[in-house]
Amino acid sequence: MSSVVNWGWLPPIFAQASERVSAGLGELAGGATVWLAVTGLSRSGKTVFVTSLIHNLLSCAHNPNRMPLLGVVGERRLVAATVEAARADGLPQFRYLDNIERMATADWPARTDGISQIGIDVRFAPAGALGKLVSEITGSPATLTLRIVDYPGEWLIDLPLLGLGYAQWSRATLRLLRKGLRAEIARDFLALLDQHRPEEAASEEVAKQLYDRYCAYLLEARDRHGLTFLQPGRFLCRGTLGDPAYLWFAPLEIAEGVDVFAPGTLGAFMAERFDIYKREVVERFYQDHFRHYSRQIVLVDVLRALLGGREVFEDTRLALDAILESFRYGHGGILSRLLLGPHIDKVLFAATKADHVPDIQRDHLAALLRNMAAFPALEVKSSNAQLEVTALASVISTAEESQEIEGQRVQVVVGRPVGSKKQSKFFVGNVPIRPPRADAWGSPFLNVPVFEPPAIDPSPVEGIAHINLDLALEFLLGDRLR
Amino acid sequence: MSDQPERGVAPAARVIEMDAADDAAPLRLLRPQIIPTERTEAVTPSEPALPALAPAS
Repeated sequence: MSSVVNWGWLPPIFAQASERVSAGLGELAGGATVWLAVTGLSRSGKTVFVTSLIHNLLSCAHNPNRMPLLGVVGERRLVAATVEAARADGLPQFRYLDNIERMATADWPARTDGISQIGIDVRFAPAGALGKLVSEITGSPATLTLRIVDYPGEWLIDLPLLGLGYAQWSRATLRLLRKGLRAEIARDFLALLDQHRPEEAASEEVAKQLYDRYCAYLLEARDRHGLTFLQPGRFLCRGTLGDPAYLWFAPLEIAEGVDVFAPGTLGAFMAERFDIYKREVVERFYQDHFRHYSRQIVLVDVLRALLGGREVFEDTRLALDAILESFRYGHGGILSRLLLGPHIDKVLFAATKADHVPDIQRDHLAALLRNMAAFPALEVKSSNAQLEVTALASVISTAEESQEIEGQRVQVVVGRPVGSKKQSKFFVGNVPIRPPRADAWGSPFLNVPVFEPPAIDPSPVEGIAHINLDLALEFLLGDRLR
Repeated sequence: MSDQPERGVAPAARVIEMDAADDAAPLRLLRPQIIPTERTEAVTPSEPALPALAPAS
């Protein structure tokens, strides 16, 4: 994507290296593109992240103090950043202007559940001697088009499905579904499931009933209980998929050792749809979209997972492990047979809503995220993407204060909850740097306040107060802006 | 000198010997909570300290 030269005839390893060289030369001559993919599970703040990123980049020419830790800004090399005209290539345009105008009225943008993109042209003075020379010869600054794609993290949770057959997936899903909180949420689905067997005759009507109840369980698990390891991800975030009949499947109770079903049975009917889902939805996303991305940020609401209690926290760990599969490129992995050529080479995992945690505990939030998933195991393989972890707030909507609680003076944040006329203080408790021990969990705290955004100028002049947005961009794009 | 530090001042490091009764007492952690206030004005965000850039030359 980043090159006009066709390297497709070369073996993958050479093609990848050649594309990188080509991208570098393209940047020097002006006109290169880098694809930055933004994802995160529902309510992790993707839309606000992209809106703040664009607004702050556009504002840097007027107010460089907003993003001092982004090298191209801190070194005063940024000439200008502008929104590229909408492209007619099929993906919906990210609604930056609508979002910033809404935030200027002290409200947050609406949730989205599909994929969108937007291009930002960044013109800058190169930092290296060669870049400076080319810039002087051509008489123009270097240009990098930053193409930002925003898609639901739920879609990445589907990657492990490609390594499973329908029977395996059904057994694994139902094992999880019959435990703890999930068993309670899924009781209507489980009651219906008890009335059906894989050996019974295939029926479109039964498949649809099971699918509807299963979807209702997924929605309630996500929206009322904050669970995130929910498959299939497209049942929750469809994008432009609509509701085709091949989606109408659900797990069935299947005995160990049974992997194939007699023709004409409900089991065979469901298994066929599961395979179509994998082929038409999961694989297609990776082949049509994901393979183009070179940089990725994954937003994770670590705070909500921690405060939601042990089950929600453990569930988020499962979701993170599933998401990490999308950045393992080593030989033998699912991705190695799906994607050839260049791949994502830098991934940043960001614990969002860092403004809900007092300054003194923010590093804990990042450390906790690092210790939640198998990041260290991924980092040792050079074939995988380079990973980093940070805490981040795309918009700071709180101020710091202290408060006496039960005789102890503690740090709190204060903000005005959306829809309220009065400010509230929020005491987050102790944010540990490692997952709490089993006996250290208290009762869930599900009412994490949603504070209204601060006063925001919709014109790209002042920018938006943030935490670590510039550091995040420096990790993701700093090398491409040199 | 009083054993009680002033409010808002971090206590100095020290070793506290525990007897058997103290040992049995569970550590009490404060729970997360929301504390309503009567203040109505919009909040001005507390930004982390960042290096200010020199004016462009």
